[in-house]
Amino acid sequence: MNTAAHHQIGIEVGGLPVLVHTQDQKFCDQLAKYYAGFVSHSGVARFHFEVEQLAQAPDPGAEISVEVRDGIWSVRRADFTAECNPSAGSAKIRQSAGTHSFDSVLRIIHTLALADEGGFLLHAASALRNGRAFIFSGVSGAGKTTLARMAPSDATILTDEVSYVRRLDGRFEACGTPFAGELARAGANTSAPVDTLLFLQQGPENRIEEMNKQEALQRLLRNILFFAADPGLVSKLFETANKFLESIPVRRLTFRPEPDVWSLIQ
Amino acid sequence: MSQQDDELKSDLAIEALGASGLLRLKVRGNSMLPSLWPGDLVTIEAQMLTNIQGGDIILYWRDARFFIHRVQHKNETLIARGDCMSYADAPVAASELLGRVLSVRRYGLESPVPRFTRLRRLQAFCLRHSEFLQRLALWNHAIRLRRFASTPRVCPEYSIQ
Amino acid sequence: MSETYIARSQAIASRLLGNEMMVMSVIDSTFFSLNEAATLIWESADGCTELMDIVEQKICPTFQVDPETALHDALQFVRQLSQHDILKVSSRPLNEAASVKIPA
Repeated sequence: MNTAAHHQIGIEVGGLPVLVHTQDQKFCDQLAKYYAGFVSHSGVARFHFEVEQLAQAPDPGAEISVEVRDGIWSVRRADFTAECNPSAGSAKIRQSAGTHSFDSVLRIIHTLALADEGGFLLHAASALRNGRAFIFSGVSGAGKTTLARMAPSDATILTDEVSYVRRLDGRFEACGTPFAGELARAGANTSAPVDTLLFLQQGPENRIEEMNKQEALQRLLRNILFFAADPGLVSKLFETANKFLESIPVRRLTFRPEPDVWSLIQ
Repeated sequence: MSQQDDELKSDLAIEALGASGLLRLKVRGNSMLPSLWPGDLVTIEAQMLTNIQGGDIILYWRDARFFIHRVQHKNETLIARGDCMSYADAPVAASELLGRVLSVRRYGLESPVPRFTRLRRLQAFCLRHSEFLQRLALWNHAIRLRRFASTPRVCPEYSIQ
Repeated sequence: MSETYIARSQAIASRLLGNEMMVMSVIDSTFFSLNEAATLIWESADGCTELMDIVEQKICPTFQVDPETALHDALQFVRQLSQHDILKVSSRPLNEAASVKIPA
């Protein structure tokens, strides 16, 4: 591990601590601001990220390449490259200046680590109420952010865009993340056991209905964020999705965009 | 959503941008293909006209709606155009300008603002002149975003004896 | 008509939910949901049972369909899955021959 970097900052999401090493104080300060609420001072790290910022910013492309070979995770996009050794807990990142490229690398590393450990990132909002987490998934425009905006004071928003689901002590937990959507603010840095997964659609009245397992599995898989074409990890994700559905109820929530929908979510 | 709801939402968005300096909006429409796609989430920072440069993608308010277009030229006003549009917009006054796009989020991943490179100009030219290509591009984009795509039903269908 | 043998690929993950088999390719992550008839074919795809036999012995007795129609539909189904490497297809038992894709 190269210790020439002068500055470091700890970021912990979903109980996975990352220590970022950089020679750029300004970048360190940017990260501290961007991940406020998720900055960790424990000094403990599952991963050490050594980040080098490129002098010239290449044009960012949308194509991501994520490869797993000989135990190394290689992540590439036009604006960054990252080589991560999960066993050693280290990663070398070269990226465009600023937080945007870093944030993508961080999310992708989380998707890989979670896949290995029986969890996943899901395109969904989630909230904590009465000590339990409720996850709201749906297509773009289904109402995830709308629902999050209408949350009552006794509900804590974990995220309005990317839900973090991990396996802990044999049960599934949802964790708050800094990965915000239209709500434009980070979720609370807390976690709770998952109570229900709800697939959203807007309609003239509020109601919750059962969903059959086959449709639930299809929709769950479709909303999992994952970018690697690695058969081992994809296979693990499939098993995780099935285990999730065995233990967590899945329902369809039709709702009017009015706050009274929250009376059904507790 | 009714027109009234739309206006209320827009008013709130403008207020939020003014208060916090940052706003996230979902891209609608195809005017900025292939740089921005419908469904992309853009982060906007409040900015004054003096800080805007050619090539920036700006947010402005006109005719009771938002426009997210790229700046072509700048003098006392801004000349902006959708990457996929044939004609520039009417000049954008300082009073209409709300801010500049800082980053783009697509299916869960953040990236810096796409530049209008030569390749994108060529792609935009093709999309501008062919509705079919636009539909194909949008369909292809939707497919690429999906990691676990399910296939249409291919199973034999019979009744049980 | 030449014989057709089918075998489940190793590069898949699958789970039976109710009467439907959910199958996913771990190579390209395409996902199939198989109804009852397709699940019967899938479960019988052991590499050494000829497709015609599967149709005559499993599909026709269970469903209201004649053997010719059932075989035509089964071939179409098998072709689709083989294009995503979910099923291996061969004109010989699959422990003897290399697999080939049925051309579309």
